[in-house]
Amino acid sequence: MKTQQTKTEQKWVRKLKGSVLSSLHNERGVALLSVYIASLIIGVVASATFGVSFSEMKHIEREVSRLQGYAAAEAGVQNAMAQISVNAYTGFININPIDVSDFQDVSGNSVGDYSVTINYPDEADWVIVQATANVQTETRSLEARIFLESNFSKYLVYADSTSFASGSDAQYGDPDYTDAYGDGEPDYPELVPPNEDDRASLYFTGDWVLSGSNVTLYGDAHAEGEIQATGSGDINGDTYSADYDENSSGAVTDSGVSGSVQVGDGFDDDEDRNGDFVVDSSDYPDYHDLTDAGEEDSHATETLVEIDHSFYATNNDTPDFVGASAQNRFLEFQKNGAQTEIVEYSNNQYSTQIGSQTIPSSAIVYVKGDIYVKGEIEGRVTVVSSDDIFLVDDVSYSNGQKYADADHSTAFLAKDKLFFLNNNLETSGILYAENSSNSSVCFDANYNTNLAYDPNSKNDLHLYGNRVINGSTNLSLYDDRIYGYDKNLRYYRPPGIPVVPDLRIVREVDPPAGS
Amino acid sequence: MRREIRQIVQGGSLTFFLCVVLVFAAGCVKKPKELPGGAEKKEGLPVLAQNMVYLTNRSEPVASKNLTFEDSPDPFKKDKEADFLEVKAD
Repeated sequence: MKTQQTKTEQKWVRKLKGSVLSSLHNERGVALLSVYIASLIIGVVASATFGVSFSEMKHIEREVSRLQGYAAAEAGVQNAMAQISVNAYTGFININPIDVSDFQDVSGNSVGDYSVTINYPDEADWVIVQATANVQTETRSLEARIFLESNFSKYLVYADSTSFASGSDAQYGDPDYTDAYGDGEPDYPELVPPNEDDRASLYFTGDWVLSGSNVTLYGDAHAEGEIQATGSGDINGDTYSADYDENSSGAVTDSGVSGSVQVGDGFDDDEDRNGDFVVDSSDYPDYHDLTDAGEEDSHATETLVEIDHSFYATNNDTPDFVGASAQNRFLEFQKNGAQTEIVEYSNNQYSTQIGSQTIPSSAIVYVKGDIYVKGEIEGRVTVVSSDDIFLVDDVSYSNGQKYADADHSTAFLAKDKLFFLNNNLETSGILYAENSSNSSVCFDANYNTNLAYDPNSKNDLHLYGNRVINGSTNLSLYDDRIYGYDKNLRYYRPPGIPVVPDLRIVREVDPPAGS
Repeated sequence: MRREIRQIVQGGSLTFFLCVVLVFAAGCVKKPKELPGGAEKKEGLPVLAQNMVYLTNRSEPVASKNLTFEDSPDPFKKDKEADFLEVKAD
């Protein structure tokens, strides 16, 4: 019995051994196992690849949204620029906010939204635009700074004339006696600052002729023709002439300046034009070209932005001065709190008052007819005539202030001519004569306060501001003339002075709270 | 031997099926259409340019010469133009 049981056990052991050994020998099942392992590995790798790909897709989607947000914010800046440009030629800046709730791409697909805020601090020379765009979950915000430039306020003199003559003893600009070191000596060798933006500047669309003796400029001169001294003069600054020329090696063949005139700002900031490793007179330091593009050290030519008389008529703050027919107005400006009160008289003797009115602190005074003016300006006031403006007596800002600031600036814009009547006259602000009658002179000093022809009685003329002249002047009838420069007028222009917006700075900023 | 071949075919089929499923799943992930920027656009326009309003110069400057003057004749003005010997310097 025991033997029988042992045999059976031995038989099972042999069978089991045979089975295992047989499996090992014939490798049955290894292929399936290998395939499963390989499948598992491939599955893991594929899953990992899928995960990475999915993550990158998400990143790219987010990046696309960010790029779209940036582009949408840029569109907001462009939109603001366009809004500002619409009325820029009138000098008024439209600061209404912009809100585009459905910003679309070229295919008409909705991208997101953007909003724009526009700030015009002190109504000065900069406009600050902030555009914020939302695309998907991304919000981006751009700040743009737009510079407002006007050649009505940029130049001490802008003369549109084939030839503009300056008579004896004319002084353009004021000497700068800055003494920052306190050594008792002026810091600037020729009494002009090194930064050209701080200097007075003249611009002539033709030749500038220094016809008299002792003509002095503290600043830079630009002429689309030549600067000629048939008399004599000093230009304490740089010259920019379209006649300037160099040969192929860089040597100056025409400086654009002729005659007895000294040119130079006194600073060693000039280049070695002829390549002899020495900057000397042969390099014509401080002489420059005037070109269309203003490349390298040249300056660019400029075209005057026309003023729009119909705009002033439409935005006039003194409707009483615009009747059915033109009428002469005899006006005196007086300070009344933070505003200007205009007192009207019956004639040029200013003896009989016939009315008065107080105008807003920023106002346009438009008169259909001639205007006779004198007095003190409070606020920012632009006076526009459909014909001539007569400067009867001094015009300044309140309390005798000569130079403009954030609360004081003025301009006198005549459709035809400006007359300088008093024999001694001081006037602040921007003076403009469009010369619609095409007269030989449009700044005329031939007449006195009685409106009589009296050219030989003129003594002193002192201006504190800028002039835009469409033609010539005869202000040399004044024995002494100082055409002072008021650089504040570049910043604090009176209303209605044409400006050209120029996008200068764009940077990304934190989105405003709540956007 | 036939059994092993059948197992390999079955395993391979399973792997192939898994790969097809994964590729299909990857294909279902939403892809970005195009990057903005516009340089590669056939039309040559920025993608987001539709609502952009570009700064342009005033097409028609308001010509002051179009204005009419209703000023009455001014005898004083005739005097002003009479003297052709006047000084014309600033």
